[in-house]
Amino acid sequence: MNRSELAQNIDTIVVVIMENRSFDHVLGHLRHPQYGNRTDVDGIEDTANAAYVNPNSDAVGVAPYFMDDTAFGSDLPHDRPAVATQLAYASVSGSFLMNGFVQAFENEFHTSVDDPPVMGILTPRSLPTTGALAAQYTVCDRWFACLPTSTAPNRLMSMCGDTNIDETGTLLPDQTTVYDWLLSHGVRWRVYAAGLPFLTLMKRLAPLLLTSHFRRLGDLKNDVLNDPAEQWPQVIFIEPDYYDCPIHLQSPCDNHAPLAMASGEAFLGQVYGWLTSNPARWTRTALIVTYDEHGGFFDHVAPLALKYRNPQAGVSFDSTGPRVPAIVAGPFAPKGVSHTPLDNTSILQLLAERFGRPGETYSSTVVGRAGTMASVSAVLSAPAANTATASITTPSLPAGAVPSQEGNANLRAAFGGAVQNLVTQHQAEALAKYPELGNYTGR
Amino acid sequence: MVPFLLVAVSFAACDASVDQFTASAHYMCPGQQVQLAWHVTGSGSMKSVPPLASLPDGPVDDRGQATVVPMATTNVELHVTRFLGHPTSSTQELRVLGPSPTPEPLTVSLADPSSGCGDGKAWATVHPQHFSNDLKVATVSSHAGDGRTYDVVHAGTHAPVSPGTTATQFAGMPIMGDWVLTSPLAAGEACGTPTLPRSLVVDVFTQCVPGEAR
Repeated sequence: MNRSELAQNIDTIVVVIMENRSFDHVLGHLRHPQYGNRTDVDGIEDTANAAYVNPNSDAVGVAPYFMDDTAFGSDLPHDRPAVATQLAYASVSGSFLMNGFVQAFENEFHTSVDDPPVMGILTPRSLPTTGALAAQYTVCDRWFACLPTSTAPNRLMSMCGDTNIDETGTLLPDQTTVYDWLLSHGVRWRVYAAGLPFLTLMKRLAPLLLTSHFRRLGDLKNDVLNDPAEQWPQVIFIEPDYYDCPIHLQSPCDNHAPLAMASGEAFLGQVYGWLTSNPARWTRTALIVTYDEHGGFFDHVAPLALKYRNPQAGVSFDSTGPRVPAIVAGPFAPKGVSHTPLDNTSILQLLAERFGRPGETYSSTVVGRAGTMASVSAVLSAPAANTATASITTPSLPAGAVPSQEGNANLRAAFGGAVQNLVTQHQAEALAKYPELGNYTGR
Repeated sequence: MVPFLLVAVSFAACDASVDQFTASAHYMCPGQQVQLAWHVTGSGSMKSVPPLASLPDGPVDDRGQATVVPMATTNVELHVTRFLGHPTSSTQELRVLGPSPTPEPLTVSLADPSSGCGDGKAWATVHPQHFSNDLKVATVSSHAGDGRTYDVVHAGTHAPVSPGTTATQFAGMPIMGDWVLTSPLAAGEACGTPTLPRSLVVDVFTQCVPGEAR
């Protein structure tokens, strides 16, 4: 879609960014003869393909294997050094070989097993929502994590188009966010969050967090049906309840290991059901479901050699991260596959094309990636040809306890600090909006 | 606010951890002695599936070692908990191989420092680890799904390995020790380009030889 077509056809862009899964882990099965044999998808055609073999520490090759959704014993390695090991750059070929995933796992966990979780490939029965969306809409099989590192830098790239950090630490540095961009452009926007929004971690955003821009996920059900047109947002970010946040407003559902994907599938199914419950609005909506980064799971496609430089912050990368699962849904998302190179900054460029001034790009950094990365507008096509909706049968959101397995200690501590900041500096408003914070004891 | 922050951070620092957990062998014959060693931060407990007579399930010291003699493939799980911290665990799978030849895909990534490319060939050295000494080579053949041909050198012996053939020249040799794999480049492959294979791999069929000393 060009800018004119976007303006004529798309009223609302909805963005859901889940956590920490690779493309092959979630959608690689689509290529396999046993699970759809979609020859258009660059997935796992044959688990025995020698190119996918990852040597373990004993020099024995481990192949990807099909697995059912499950909780894991712990988070999986995905910090910057671990990702470098996973990508396995080879000087003899000048390329990333994507065969260090088992090695990184064993290095971190002192574990030697025949079926390390990093090599697991999910099958359709574990993916009632993602599978239905993949069958109905556009699967993007060249959507990469912005950077070969962990959650926080990738989330910052997604929400700011830049990052001042190269690793997940504690609180996020203050940066200009997409919320600032939307406000400065007079765009109506909201965040519907199942838990605390991720940018709770950015201290300066605390007052904004307490405004009506930020709502609880459950409000979406009513708003999509009853909001008058002049109030219905043009841009919506929908956030899961993050596993690594010590406060849960419902139950973790972000798909971050060690969490299983069942609750995330229920979350996505619920969101899709609400968005499609108002057909008039759905016909003018583009829904983007993607992930922040691969979370340590195997993917067979080498990242793109796209340099990122932020000299002021001393942050430098020479490639993207591995591919992540991504689906663009809605009447303007053709059923099929897009091989267009994309990452989460491609969403920001889409916002600029739809809501910016004529010819405006999102930022110099984002447009600087455009030689390699396209805008999500490249996936959308007019007129609306995909008017059917996906049939999804998902379980209701589980109300189970938070898994006790190890998550990311830095993020847990950071969320704890951010919550305390919120409560101490804006006590009345914070507790009115999130009464659960009143029970927070630091754990 | 500062005290609260400190509390939050210190809770995270209370997580249990497995600092070391090793097994002297991961691939072995029935009755082979295996030394386990561990170091944990927190309260550790061991569980073996199936149970090992020489290592009862239950609490273990934060540093320790044990000798076990598995008769079948066994997962030894080390679980660690810590007050106010998240638990963690690690597993050592002790793979007990039988008398029938079992294929193990010995693999080396071309990202390994031993790899090279030139004169129309790519090569690298496989360094197998944690195979017990009484586990011997039966035969060597191509890995399923790998269409490459190899020149294989191990323990001073040399043999070609290609799809559809079985090399018997290494029969009776130990698995441990370097395996140098050299493979001619196929049409369209060139050194210094991503056209090269990602790894070199051959299937080594292993066999427990009866009567070998434990």
